[in-house]
Amino acid sequence: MPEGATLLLDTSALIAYFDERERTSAVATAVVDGFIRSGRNSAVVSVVTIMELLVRPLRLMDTVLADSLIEFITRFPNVTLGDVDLAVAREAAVLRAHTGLQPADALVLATGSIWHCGHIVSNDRAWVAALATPGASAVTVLLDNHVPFPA
Amino acid sequence: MDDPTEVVIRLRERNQLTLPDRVAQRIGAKEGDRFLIRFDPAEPDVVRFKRFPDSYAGIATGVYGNTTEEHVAYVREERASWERDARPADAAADGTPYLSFEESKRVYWQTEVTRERYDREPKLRWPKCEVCGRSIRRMNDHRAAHRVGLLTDKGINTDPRQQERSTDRVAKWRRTVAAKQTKKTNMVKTVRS
Repeated sequence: MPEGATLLLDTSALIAYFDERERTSAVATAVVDGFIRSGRNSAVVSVVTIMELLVRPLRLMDTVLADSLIEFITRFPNVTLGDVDLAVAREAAVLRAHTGLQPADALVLATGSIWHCGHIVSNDRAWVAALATPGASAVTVLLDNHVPFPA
Repeated sequence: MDDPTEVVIRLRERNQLTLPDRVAQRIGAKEGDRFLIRFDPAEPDVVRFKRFPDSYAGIATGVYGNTTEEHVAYVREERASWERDARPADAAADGTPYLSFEESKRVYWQTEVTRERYDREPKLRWPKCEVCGRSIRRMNDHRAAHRVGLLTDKGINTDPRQQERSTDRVAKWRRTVAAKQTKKTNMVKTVRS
């Protein structure tokens, strides 16, 4: 990922960061705590991703964790919250019309498009493969492709 | 060592404050750390400081699953739920598949599971937890609660507030049962006399 590029962090990539035991956690931590925290790269997180992250902790009634997740999104250096506004909704509609993407996928990708994210960071191999079409404006980065990661 | 620390400090010119060494050492603060300062007009003499952690890595270990595959499955399930009728009618809100009639007969072998009872009693469609043995409707959420220690091996909630509520409920139930028993005994005595 080139220095200065804006990254779109997908839900699966953030879960890899928040769960330190899975095999891609070291890569996710290097991206978030290394690249983003230092300002080498900035990142955008869609509000759809926040909703997805909060569902499980709230079902478990773990409001402390839910608050910590919100704190990360709103306070972590160089991370911007990508709202769903008219521009994002319109871009998502275009994506759905042309590619048949599911609503949530379209809203997340449209957020990245509106915020000029050059790289989409994900942990979902199938999703990344589906997005990596010829002529796509953003580069997809699969965390699993960088494992094992030097500590 | 776990006692609260109280230090009196004085505001200097241009509203400057210094975080005392004792406090800085106890919270592990260092140059460049960021703090949130919170002021509530309801408590005009109180200002709270919260230090932001350097990293949030690992704050939700086990919550969404144990492996990359389980994490990806969680996200896919969440996204698929946007589509109307995407989730099969025989699955709970968290994607837990319900037991088929044949599976229910095997799992609840001590119960006489008939088609009529299977259709009428939702619990006969719920899988049993492999850890605590309880019948659970939303098994994915339940397994996550076991993983992160919110439930014991016996399926008991580890949250003290929840335990207190459960204790109160049981005590109330016992009082109700005892009251009914006393009333029944008194009625019998009245009839005999």
